[in-house]
Amino acid sequence: MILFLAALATRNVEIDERAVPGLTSASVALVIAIPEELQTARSPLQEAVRLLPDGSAMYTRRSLASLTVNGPVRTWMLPDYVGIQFSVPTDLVPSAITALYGFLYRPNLTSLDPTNAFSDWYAPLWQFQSKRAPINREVRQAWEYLVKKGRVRICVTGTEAPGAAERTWERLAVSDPISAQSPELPRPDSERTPLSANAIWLDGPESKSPASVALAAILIGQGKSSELFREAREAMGLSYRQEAFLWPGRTGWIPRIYLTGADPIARAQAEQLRERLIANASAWTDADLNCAKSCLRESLSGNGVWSPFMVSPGSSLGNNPGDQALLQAVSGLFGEPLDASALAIRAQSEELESVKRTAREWLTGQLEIRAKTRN
Amino acid sequence: MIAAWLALACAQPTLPQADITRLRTILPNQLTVLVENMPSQTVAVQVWIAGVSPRETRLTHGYRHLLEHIMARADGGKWDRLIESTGGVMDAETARDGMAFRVQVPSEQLPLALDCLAAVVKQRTVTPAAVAQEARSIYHEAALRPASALKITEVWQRLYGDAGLDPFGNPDLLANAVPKQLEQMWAKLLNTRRMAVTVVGPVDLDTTTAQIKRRFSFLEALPVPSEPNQTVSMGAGKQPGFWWMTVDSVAEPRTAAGIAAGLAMASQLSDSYFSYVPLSGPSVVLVGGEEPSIKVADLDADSLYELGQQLALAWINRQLSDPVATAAFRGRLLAQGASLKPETLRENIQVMQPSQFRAAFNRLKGTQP
Repeated sequence: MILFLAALATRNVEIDERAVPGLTSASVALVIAIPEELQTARSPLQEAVRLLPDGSAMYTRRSLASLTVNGPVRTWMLPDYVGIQFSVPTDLVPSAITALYGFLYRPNLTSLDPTNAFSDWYAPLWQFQSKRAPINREVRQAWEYLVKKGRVRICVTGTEAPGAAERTWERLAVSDPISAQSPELPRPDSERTPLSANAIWLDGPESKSPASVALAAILIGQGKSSELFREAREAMGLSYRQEAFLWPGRTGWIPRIYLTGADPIARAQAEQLRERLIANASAWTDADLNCAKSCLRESLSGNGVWSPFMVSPGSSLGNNPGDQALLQAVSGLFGEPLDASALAIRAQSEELESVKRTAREWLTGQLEIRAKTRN
Repeated sequence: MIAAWLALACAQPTLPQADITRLRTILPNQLTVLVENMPSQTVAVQVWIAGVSPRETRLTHGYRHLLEHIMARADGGKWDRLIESTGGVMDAETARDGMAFRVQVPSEQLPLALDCLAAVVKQRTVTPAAVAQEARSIYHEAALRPASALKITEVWQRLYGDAGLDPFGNPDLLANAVPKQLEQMWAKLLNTRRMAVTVVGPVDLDTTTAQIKRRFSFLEALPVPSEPNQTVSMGAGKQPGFWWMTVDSVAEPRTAAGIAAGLAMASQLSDSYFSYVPLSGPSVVLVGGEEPSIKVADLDADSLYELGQQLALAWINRQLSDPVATAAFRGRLLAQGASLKPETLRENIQVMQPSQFRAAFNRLKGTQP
């Protein structure tokens, strides 16, 4: 029975370990895809994620702060996955894995926040939220359901001894097996997420190999020199915030254009914007593409300030171990774990016509409009 | 490594010594320049313009914010493309204490960043089309402001009246702003006595200071008009969900205690936020949040003293933790006064006595005048 549970725990979790010579700290990233049926129970899950760093009963004698040498523990929840990321000295990777085991299977989720305020910039992408505060039982249920049913991926970048994390995990699964009971789905949220701003988004086809679409995202909507800034904000006056990025979905990178502003955007206006973007993309030149390539290369090498990969709410993917681990873990959810350096090299060989074709496929994708709502 | 702060009022740049990581210089045109060497792959370059003068009125409410939007698109966006193709970014902000134009680029692109910001402050013309476009953008921006920003605005205006007008501005008024008036305000804002240029990253102090001097020497020192005395009702107050109190200048010990008290209180609340604007004059500490099981009135100052001190030190250390944050914190202080520096505030936090913390905490929670 114990052996079976160990196998179950191990099978639910995939661990990717990478040694990077010369590092004094290793970065640990854990991501969990949120299953479709849990999408309507966002409020208790959000609360669980918020409570994790403070409330986790870990299987280590060290406190989380001493493990990370007072470094930050980032936890967040995007509509399609939950993420945890922190760094530890390289010799403490087994302790970090033990901590993650505690996060997943022995969390202490008791100190609830009674508020429901949710004003993140991506709030419109949520369909529902509860007006009432979730109760303890619902928070625990949501987390247990996520961990049992979701696909968990851990990436350790900068480990001293590849394989140590996997061995630690297997040992924990044997010595401290998780329950085999099937958790119940928590009560679903009933109200639509209230919005203080209007939003539209335009999704292209999912991609597992995102070099071309990353370049298209930069040209369409990264920064003040992008098409979106000039067309949506300056020429048409539709929005304040507008950008194009790659959003980690459940089965691949989703190319997404996202705009928010004060006024409802009529479908006719959105379609007009789409037409302008398509026309502009068809006129891209090699000089435009070279700018995008330069931007992506600098971003992925850690010199740049931001990148098109929205791997956490703050984004800004760099070539540091923390971001590397995160990119690998997220992309590992739905395919081959991506390496930022390899991606930067691959992007340099993309040709103009290929990037134009990618942009056209994206821009003719599905358009969603969410109007400001108040429950 | 000992960080040195060189106060060289009205003097030429001085040669840095081997252990100096920071050099503050006041150029002959009175512009304050701060260059700090910090290990990083990127360099942060910022121009700060103090918000104290000229002061906005109800008729010009938000003009600084509108000017920030307009000027940040220098040369029709030419600089954005140049900066962004290096993987860098140029942005801007308008706050109560100042207006900032900021560039972050790979360190070898420092000359480009300096050229970009020099181009921003060289501009003198405002067109009606730019006003219409950016007023529209601010109208959209208003819809995305968090509820906490509106509460902070309310407290400032109650305390300071017209002198506490929200720097965000009134979108309806801005749509009808007159370009000529905006140009006049911009010309007054570009007063080197109220400006600072900060550069933080892996840079050479002397070379960088010389590069800044070469690009920004066209700016002029203007007489600083005497502003009418600000009527400030010093005090404290509370409303459901938030607590506030006035504090002195950023350099005063009582301000350090106020920050520690505010952060300690915020740590005891759920969904909390903390607001403090570092000003050379009076400012406000504001804490918002939900009272969980324990009420603020029941919190004991003495048991929170150490926590408050640690949180305040962590807060100020965070302001100095990377090139962008450091350039911003130093820039916003230096634009208000060439002698203002974060180290004074940090020292005041370090030597803060329990009695000072207790007085501030009790004032904030409303049990001590």
